[in-house]
Amino acid sequence: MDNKIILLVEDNPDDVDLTIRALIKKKILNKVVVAHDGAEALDYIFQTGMYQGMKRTLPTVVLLDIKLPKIDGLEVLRRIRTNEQTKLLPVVILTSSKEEQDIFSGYKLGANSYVRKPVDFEQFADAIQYLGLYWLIVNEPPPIS
Amino acid sequence: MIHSIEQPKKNTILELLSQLCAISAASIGLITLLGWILGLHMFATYGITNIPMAPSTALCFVLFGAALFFRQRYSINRRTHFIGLFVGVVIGLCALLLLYVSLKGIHPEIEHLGFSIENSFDKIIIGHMSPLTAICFVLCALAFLLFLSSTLVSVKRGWATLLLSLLVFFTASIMLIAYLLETPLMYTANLIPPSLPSSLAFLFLSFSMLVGAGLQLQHANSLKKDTSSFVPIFIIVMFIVFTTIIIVGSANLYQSFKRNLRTEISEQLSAISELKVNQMTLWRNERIGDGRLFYKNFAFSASVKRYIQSNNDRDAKKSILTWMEQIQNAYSYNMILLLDPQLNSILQYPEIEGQIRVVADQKERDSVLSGNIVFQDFYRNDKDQKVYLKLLVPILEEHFPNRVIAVLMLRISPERYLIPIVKQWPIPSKTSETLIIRKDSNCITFLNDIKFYNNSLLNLTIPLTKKDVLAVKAATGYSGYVEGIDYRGQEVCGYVRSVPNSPWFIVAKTDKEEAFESLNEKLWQIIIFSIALFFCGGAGIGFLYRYQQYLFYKGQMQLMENVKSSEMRYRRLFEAAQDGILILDAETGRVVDVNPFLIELLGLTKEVFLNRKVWELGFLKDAIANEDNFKELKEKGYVRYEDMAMEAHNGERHEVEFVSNVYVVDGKNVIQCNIRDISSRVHAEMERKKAEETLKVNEALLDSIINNSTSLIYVVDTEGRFLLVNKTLELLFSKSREKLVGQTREGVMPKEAAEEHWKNDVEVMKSGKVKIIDEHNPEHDGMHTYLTIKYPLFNSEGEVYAIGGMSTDITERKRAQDGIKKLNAELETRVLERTSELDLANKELTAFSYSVSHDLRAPLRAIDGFSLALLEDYAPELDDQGKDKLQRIRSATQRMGRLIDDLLSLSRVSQLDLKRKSLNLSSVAQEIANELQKSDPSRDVEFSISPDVTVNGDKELLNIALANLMQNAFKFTSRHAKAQIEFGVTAQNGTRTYFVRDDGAGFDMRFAEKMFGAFQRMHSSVDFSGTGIGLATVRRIVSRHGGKIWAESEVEKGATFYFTLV
Repeated sequence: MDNKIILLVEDNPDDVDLTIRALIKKKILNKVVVAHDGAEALDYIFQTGMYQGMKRTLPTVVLLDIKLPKIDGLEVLRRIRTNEQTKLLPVVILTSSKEEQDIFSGYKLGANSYVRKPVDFEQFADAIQYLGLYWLIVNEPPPIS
Repeated sequence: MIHSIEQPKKNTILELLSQLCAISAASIGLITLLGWILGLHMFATYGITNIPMAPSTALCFVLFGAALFFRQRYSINRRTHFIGLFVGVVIGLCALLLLYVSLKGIHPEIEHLGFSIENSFDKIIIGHMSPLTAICFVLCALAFLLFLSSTLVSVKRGWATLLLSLLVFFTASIMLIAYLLETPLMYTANLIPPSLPSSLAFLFLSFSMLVGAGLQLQHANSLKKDTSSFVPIFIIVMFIVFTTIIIVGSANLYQSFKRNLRTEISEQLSAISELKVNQMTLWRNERIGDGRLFYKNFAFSASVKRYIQSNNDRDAKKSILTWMEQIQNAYSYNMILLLDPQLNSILQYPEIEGQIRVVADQKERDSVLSGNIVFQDFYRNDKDQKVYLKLLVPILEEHFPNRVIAVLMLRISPERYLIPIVKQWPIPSKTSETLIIRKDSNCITFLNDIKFYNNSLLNLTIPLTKKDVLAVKAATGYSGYVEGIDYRGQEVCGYVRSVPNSPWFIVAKTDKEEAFESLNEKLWQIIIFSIALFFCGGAGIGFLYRYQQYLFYKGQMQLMENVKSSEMRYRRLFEAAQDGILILDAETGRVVDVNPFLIELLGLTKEVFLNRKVWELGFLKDAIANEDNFKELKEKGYVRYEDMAMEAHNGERHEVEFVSNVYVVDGKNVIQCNIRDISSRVHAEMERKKAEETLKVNEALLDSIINNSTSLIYVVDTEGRFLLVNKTLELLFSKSREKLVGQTREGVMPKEAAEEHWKNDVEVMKSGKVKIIDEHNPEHDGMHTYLTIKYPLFNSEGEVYAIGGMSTDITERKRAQDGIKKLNAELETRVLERTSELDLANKELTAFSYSVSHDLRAPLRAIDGFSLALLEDYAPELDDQGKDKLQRIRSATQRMGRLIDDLLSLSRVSQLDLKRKSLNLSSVAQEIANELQKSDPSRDVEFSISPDVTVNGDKELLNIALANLMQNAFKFTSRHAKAQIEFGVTAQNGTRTYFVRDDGAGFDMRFAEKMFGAFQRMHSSVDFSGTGIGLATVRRIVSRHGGKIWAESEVEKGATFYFTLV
């Protein structure tokens, strides 16, 4: 459990805090790497930019917001899926948007799940808990080196 | 039928044959006459031993033959008939007359016709007609007269001709056969026999008539179809010819045999007679040779001289006697005498008593005394009555050769040698013998003993007048083979010769009976053979006849069958005819037969018709229905009534065409009436007239439509010439219809316009399809536009023969249209502008909604999250009031989140495309109900959902609408312990109306309309939570489906929400 990393891609610092708080509240204590925009997320995943040359572990799951500065979430997802190395990486879209267009695009690009962030924190925490439980414990991750 | 086709062929051959026969008979007569004229008797006799045909007979044959030929050759007319009649009568009468006088023994000179004819031929009177010939002529004349008068109808005369001809034919055949057998008839009788040419001519004549009469009979029979007496003349002729051939052939064969045998006998007899003659000559010469021994035997003559001179000189006597003895011994002379020149015996050997006197006539005596050896013929010795022959040899003196000093007589008996030679016959035979005869002054004398006459030698004589006798014939100069009678009167044949240097004749003869014995055998053989052949031939011909009969009857049968089948066919026609047919007896007018069609048409039974008169039946109402008309029909043979009324049994009237004609069946007149029901035709005619009138009316109507149309209506042919124009067109071109029709457009329109129109015509013509185009025509007030429909007109072969056109002046309309088009174009640009504006707005709105949903929620979530964090992390520091306030912040935040969601929902409902599908609203309601119950299991709510309510609508939107309504119902019944929520469908004002009903809090109807606006609430949040956007969303969805929504309620009595969908 220790080496399983969650990559949280979220630009809103409130949401980052609340998400981490929810994880902690639900006793999900895995390491959470936060990328504040799409570019950063991609840098982390593909070891480019600020992450170049750094040793990193591929996240077990990526919690991806759609509306991101620089490179938006859907584009991030597309790049992940087009890369041979990361195309099997579980990606969960975690967003405020309930737009059908977004849901459709997300699934089309190969999102593993699409979760809408509720306004009610308790509900949000519950959602995070289910996600954590599912992707970190229940789900057998794909064999990615 | 078969026979009548084949017969004429045969008949022509037979006719030709009969004509040929007639000509042959005439020719025989003509040749005979020619023979008489030229003196060539052969022409009249056909044989040396035959008698000639009399000139009178010949003339008769010429006339008869010619008449018969003309009768046969040329069709019977007045001239041939008259000639025939004349010749027949004249010849018949002449023959009758001649028969009479001939039988009376009178032979008129006129029969010779001026030819000089010696009156007899071997005692037979010639140059006159034989009574048999006369009889034949009478018969022939009779037959000919009958033949002449016989017609196709008078079969009896034909038979009589046939019979008489047959009689003559057989008579002639017998005469001819008699000739062929060389025993011609009546040659020995006192009557004049018929001649060979006559027999032949009669054969031809009778045959000609036989064939002629036979053909006529057959023709008559074939006409009458009297098959019972049908004997084909061909068969008869064949039989006669066949019989004739057999008879002639047999006779010929017999003759040939006879000739051969005769030759054989003749040769045999000739050989024998020759042998005898040779032997006799030899014997005679020997005897003369004996004589010569003493003749000029001077030793002997010296002895004789000495003996005479010195009478009884012993030496001389002895010497003489020695000579004599030697001779006698050597040559069997039974007596040798030495005589003096006076023929007195002076010495004899053997010596006998008495004086022997030598008998010799002067001629012999002179001959001897002149120094010749004389052979004295048979004579009878008076003393011994024996017959001897004597040889007188003169004894001449040595020195005087002419001086006869004595005569030596050598007497020899023929019995010894000569008779046996003659008597001997080289082959065994009963009657064959050789006779030696001598001709004496008026008779012949037999010189030998003969078989059938004792002691004939010198005793049997036959007078020379008996010329038939062979011996007489021999003596009178005949030589060679002869036939005749012998001394017995028996028929013999023999060969006669004279013996050279002697007065003897030799006859080698044998009885005919014996000689021709083998001929009899042959004759029998021939007869038997002929009879056998006759029967075989007869059987063959009989078979042929039977076969012909068979063929004939087969043909007849075929004919009958044909007739039968033909009758059957006609019967079928009769019975199946779609016309009524009546067969009437022409005499009485009674119905003989009626066909089923007429029976059915009139509704009567056949029995009613039969044997009743047409006018009695009464179904025909006029014309034919009386006897006068019937008489008219009988006279004319044909009557036709085109339109006649006929009444059936049930009173139904028919218009009929009545045709009736008379024809002959089996010699009886029959009337056939054909009755054709033309009611339907008449009806059809009326219909047609009516249709024509309608057509006329229609035509007038069409004309008025065409002419009153403001459009130009016209038809042009494939050359572009007007065939039809309407008034409008006339007015346009200011020309009358008459002037326009036949003209092309060039004459009335500017060239360019005319060409344009013609081009369109050609296109329609080629494509064969209707074309709608604008056409132009410059007129006084400018260019006019016409909306033209051009259509091809097809003939029955599917080819376009003309083009029809309808042109409407749309110049005004076109102008208006152009204006509208312009306006429309402007409008279009404006709309496009607006649309792009709207699109922009839409896009902005979408972006706005997106922002609202995404960006407005994030701060709310932060407020709520951190409020909770405060509550959790700083709980000890906060008093209850602080906690309550944080709690309020949180609930407000959450309410804000719900509002945002509801607003988003409302906006999306407006934006989403409507995807209509068949949808089961009941199952949707059921699902919602299940969810509602699950959301609050503590509640006791009874859902009652009508099953299978299907609508056509957008599933997602209707789901939202129904969910809103049912959530409301669930929410507003929450204060009641027990609740009932109902979904169903009902008809309101004839419209399908869906409803959701609850028994909850209800509302005041005064606010019913307000309720469907956004953010409108009927209850306080405290009572029932809600954003006030739900019903607005529902109304939006319903109105997007083209429906209406309304509610009925009473406070605390529940509410019912109705909505319709289109």
